[in-house]
Amino acid sequence: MRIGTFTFFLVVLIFASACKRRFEPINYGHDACTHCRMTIMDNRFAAEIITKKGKAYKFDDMGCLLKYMKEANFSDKDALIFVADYNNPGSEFLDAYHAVYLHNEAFKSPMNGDFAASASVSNTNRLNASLHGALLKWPNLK
Amino acid sequence: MAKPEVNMKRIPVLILIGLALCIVVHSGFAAVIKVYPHANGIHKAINNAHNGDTLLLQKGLYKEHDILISKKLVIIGIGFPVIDAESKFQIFLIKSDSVTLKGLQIQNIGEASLIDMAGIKIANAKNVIIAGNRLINNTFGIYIQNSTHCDVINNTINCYIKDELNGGNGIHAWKSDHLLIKENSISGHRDGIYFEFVTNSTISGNISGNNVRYGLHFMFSHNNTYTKNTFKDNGAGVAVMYSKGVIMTDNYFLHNWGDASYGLLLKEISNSKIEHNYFIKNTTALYMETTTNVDVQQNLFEDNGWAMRMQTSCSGSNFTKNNFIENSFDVATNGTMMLNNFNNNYWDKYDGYDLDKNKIGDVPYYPVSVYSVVTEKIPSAMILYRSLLTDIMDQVEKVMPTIVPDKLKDNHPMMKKIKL
Repeated sequence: MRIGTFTFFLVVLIFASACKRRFEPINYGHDACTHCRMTIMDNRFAAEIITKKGKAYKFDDMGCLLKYMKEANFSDKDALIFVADYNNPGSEFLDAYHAVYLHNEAFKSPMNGDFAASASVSNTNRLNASLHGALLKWPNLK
Repeated sequence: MAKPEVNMKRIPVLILIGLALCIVVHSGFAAVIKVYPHANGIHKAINNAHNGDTLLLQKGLYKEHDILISKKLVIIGIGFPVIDAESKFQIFLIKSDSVTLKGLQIQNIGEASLIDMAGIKIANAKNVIIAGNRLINNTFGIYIQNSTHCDVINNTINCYIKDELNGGNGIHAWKSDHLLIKENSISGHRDGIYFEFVTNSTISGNISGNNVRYGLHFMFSHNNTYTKNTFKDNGAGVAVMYSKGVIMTDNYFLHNWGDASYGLLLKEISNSKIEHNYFIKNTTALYMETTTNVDVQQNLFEDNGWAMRMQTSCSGSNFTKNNFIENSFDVATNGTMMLNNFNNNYWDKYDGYDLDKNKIGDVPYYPVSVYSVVTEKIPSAMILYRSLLTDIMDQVEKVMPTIVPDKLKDNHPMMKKIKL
């Protein structure tokens, strides 16, 4: 009986951990970028892919993520993609499909991708006041 | 008697030349101005100075910041005067050619998100000399942009504040040419020396250690020479990316430990030379990805986890006359394809024979061990390393090679250690 209960909980635990795909926190200063191999340091520009199977790929720059998707012919439609919030570094990552992006050399991101992501258009406007760039959405990035 | 006549005729000319010289010397006559630590002492002295003047900063504490130098000045500190930015501001901004800064202690530079704040910033200038200064607890130490022919010599650049995310680089160069970075000592920054779009420069005799990320890091920087530097105990070693014509000789890569840490990481490097370097006690001494035509010769790989990890995307490289001693794994790779040549290296794990006594082993050496193939695919298998199981696998593989990439071999391994 006891063993039965234990096995039941074990099975439940395994399934519970397997179904829920979520953002895997980036360990700055330790994790390496999947594409360029550099250690991820800058919490304003980091990005992450969680594949359909739940594997996490971490990047130091949106540019690296886009190049990786292109080179690896990444066609996982069900992948979750996260990107760091440029205005609130260190806070929760944004859903890359819904984020708004600014592209400008002045950002000097680690691999010169130079995309700054924001949660909404109003957040971006504040930043864009001095840069006068075009606002981009996910489909424009590639 | 003809001689004096000629001289007589030339006297007026000589006088003229003499006068001209006097005028030149006079106009170039540089004043030497002593500066004392009063309020805005440096600012006032620079405003009043002329091109070519020398300012002697006397010992003391100067609480000044945002000092713009747009004249050809020489600024020399006597007894290391301290210039303090109170963790809020930046200090020197050099926008003139031929400026020299010597013997200053520059400390406590502030932080900002959109501006890279630096102790000494050189922008759009040439022939600037920064020598023998101390830079302490700065976000960026020395920051060079769009400048040429600048020398950074014998400075001590330390940061004792551990801020992994917002720290800057010790020496940061961007879009510059013909720099000389020599005999500096750098620690505690994000990257010790950072180059982006820098060409035709020499980096020699520097010691870069205990930096949070890389001791040396450069991207898109062609035709630079790195020699006699020591990179030690850095978070992730040294990273060299997207460059061609890189020459690295006589450097020491020591004790760079960690999962994503490399003695030297090469990514997309071509037509380069790695010679006479010492790789000692690194997790991975040399990591190569997508490199072409890189000659790796006469280096020492000792006491490393992996002496070399080479991705199959590397091609046309020659590995000759290197010593591989006491490494857990000599070479690891992620496939079976091999487009590089190994020749005349010394491998301490080689157990072949030399019947013709020409000091070259008669049978090839396969530097990729079975277990390095296994751990490349399943990293967590490392937990079984040095168990009975791995010994059995090694022996079986020797009798019946199946897993090890057969093209990756040294056909002429040396029997004795090579003198470097």
